[in-house]
Amino acid sequence: MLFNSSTFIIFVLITFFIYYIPQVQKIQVPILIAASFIFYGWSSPALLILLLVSILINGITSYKVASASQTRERFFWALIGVVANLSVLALFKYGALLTNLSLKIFNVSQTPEEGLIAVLLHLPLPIGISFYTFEGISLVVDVFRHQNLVAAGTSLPTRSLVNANLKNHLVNTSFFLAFFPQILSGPIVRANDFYNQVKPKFIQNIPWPIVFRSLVYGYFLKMVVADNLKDYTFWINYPYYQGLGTLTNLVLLFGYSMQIFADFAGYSLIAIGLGAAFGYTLPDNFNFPYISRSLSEFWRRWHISLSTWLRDYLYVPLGGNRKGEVRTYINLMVVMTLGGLWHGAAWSYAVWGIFHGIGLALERFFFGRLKSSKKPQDELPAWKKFWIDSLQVLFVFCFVSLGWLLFKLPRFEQAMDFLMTLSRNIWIKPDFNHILPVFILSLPVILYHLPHFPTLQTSQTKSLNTVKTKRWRLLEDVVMGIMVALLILNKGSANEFIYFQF
Amino acid sequence: MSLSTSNSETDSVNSTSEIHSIYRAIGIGLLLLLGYHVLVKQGVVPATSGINQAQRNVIKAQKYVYGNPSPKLILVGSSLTASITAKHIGNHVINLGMAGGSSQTGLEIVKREKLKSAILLVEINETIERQLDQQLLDSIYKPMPHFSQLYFPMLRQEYKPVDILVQAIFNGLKSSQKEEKDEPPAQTENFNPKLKEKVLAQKISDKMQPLSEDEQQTLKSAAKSIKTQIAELQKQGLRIILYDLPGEKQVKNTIQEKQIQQIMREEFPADTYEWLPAPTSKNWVTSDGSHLVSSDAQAYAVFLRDKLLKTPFSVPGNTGTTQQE
Repeated sequence: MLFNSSTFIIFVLITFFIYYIPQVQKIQVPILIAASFIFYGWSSPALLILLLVSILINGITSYKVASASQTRERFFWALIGVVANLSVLALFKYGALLTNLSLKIFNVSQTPEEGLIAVLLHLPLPIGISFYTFEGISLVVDVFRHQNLVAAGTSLPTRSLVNANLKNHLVNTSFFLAFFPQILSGPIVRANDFYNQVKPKFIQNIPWPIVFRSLVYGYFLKMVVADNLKDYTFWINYPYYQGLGTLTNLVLLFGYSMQIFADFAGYSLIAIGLGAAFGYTLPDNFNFPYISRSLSEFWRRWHISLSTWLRDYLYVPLGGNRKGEVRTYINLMVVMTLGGLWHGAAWSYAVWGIFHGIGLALERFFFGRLKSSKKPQDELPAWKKFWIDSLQVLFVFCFVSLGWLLFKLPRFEQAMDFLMTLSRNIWIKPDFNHILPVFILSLPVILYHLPHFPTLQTSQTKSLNTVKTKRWRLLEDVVMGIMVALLILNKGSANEFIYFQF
Repeated sequence: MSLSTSNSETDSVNSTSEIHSIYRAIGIGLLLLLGYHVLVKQGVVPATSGINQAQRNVIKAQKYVYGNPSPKLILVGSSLTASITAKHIGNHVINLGMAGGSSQTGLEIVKREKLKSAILLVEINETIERQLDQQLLDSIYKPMPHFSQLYFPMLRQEYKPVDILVQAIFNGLKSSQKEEKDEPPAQTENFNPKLKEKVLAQKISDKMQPLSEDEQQTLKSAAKSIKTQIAELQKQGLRIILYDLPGEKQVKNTIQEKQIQQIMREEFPADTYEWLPAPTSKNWVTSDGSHLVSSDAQAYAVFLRDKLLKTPFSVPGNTGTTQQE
């Protein structure tokens, strides 16, 4: 069930009206669980089995962690939980990749047509598995950390995430992992942030401005920007790009950067809006990433729920930047490579992660040395600061866009061929049938980011954000009105969200 | 202007001004829609022919479905058919060739429109293996889009504001060159000999490999569903003529191409299906090994006109005979 399908709209409306009937207020959570199961199993009910397995793994292990009295026992159950989560993920997401790799290592030339190997090679990829597995790990680890604090006397047991009754805890866990707005593509919710929101909800408490704005922006980005851009970025696919000129291909790659942002940020905003409609606050996932002046800033602004998850559950436990410079670089590389592989079972994703890891490491190395010798930015004249900011933003954007090529062309040799084509096809005339629409359709994303551009942000928008004048409000409403109209007049053909494949 | 993605503001506080903002935005949106509807109805907003391949397919289909035409000849097929300009064949000709698609989609549209009499020219070649474009059909025939597009033309693809803006910019840039609206995509024309040589060599080398068993089965099962569609259309009273477009000799003479032609002739035998005879031999030129260059596409359009529309139009009683040259 796609967020942008009429079936989904009807499904949400029915769920919404049932959910807020006063007589059923006591079973609001079970209503949302049932709705989430219907939503998740809509196109392939068999996937529900895996989701239920995940719920049981995380529900039982976190319960065991919470009820264990000894640190060793707690650690044992936490370890079981994390390993079980990662095993399920590895089996379904990396089964085929690892099997192929093993066959190559052991020099098996003939792939068996049946048996275990054939099963492993043809396992389906359950949609959303990467997201709810990470949420499950966050539950187990958060409970483990909290219980350790309780045992050490530095935290109160009342803040526990685990209900004393196993059945109730499993219900809460089902809700946490299956909540339909975010099960397919996040944002990756933390147990700590979600469990204490589980309480009766009232229709009068719905934050309508947040719901409305998030849904309008979200659907606009997805249906008007991303779904229209896809008809152009389609030509980046192999072998079509080979017939296009260098400038055209570069513009299409720029368009893909815009598309992937609009697609994923759109999804996240719709999820946030839907969550708010049911009384739940989901974390922000994007914070104008294309105005980042450094790669580390980019990762604080792009897919925030994943990058903070990787930071808190992987980078920090690995030692973060607390164990010397070399170790910091190693940790960065490990985290980014695994972050890349989280996206999919293909070496190109690992390369994408390594590419970002190297970028972050180099940036850290040079910025660290430059900082000491550099004049503070605040002392520079405004025009100079603007140009420096612009160059930094442009550089980061180009770096990131180059990385997205590996998402568009997951076969590494095709991505390389695309880059070779850029140098080969300089003599082919630019195709404005592609270039012009891409620029026009990218404009909303550019305008969306523009007020937050570092130099502009400090002077104008800060004051506008704090004191919204009547004229400013009216302008905002006009923009919203235009977006509502364009949602109806200019939506592209419905297309799956890019991040569904991850 | 701040278009914040943050949901951390004014926690669950619905101030009156915020609620008024929502009403105002919705009101402005509705007002804009109303204004646009009036402009489209009055003909102030010019229709476009689409700015990309997918849109052109949708516009073709929508024009046929909502335009109530009375065609003498309809062409269905893939981008090979789409590259022929209907006007070059004659009046009352509709081209439902779908770039990136196949005859199946066009046949389905014609079938649903319950046309009673016309010649239906069906492209039959390897492209038939492509699936029916269900998304396109749904966007036209599902009740909600169908009736909304029927009564509110502004919702049709040809009136998309972004397309109109792009077209207006192009028209501004090329004001000296008058373009035909249903000109085939410029894509096939934007080629150079070097690139064509490379693509052609690649195509020939690919087609030197014989079809696998699976590929043959795919073609046969696609043929089966097309035969079902054709049978239903014949019942409606349409005259169905099958055809394949000419192309580069080197490509047509490859192992795979000959194999495909043989399968097609076996699946659609000439004693059961009417086939359009091949045009007089000439060196047909393509831009990429498949699509005719515009001059040759025009020459082929003239051939179609001479073959099918020169004689007074009538639907023969017997559709099971092969047309004699």
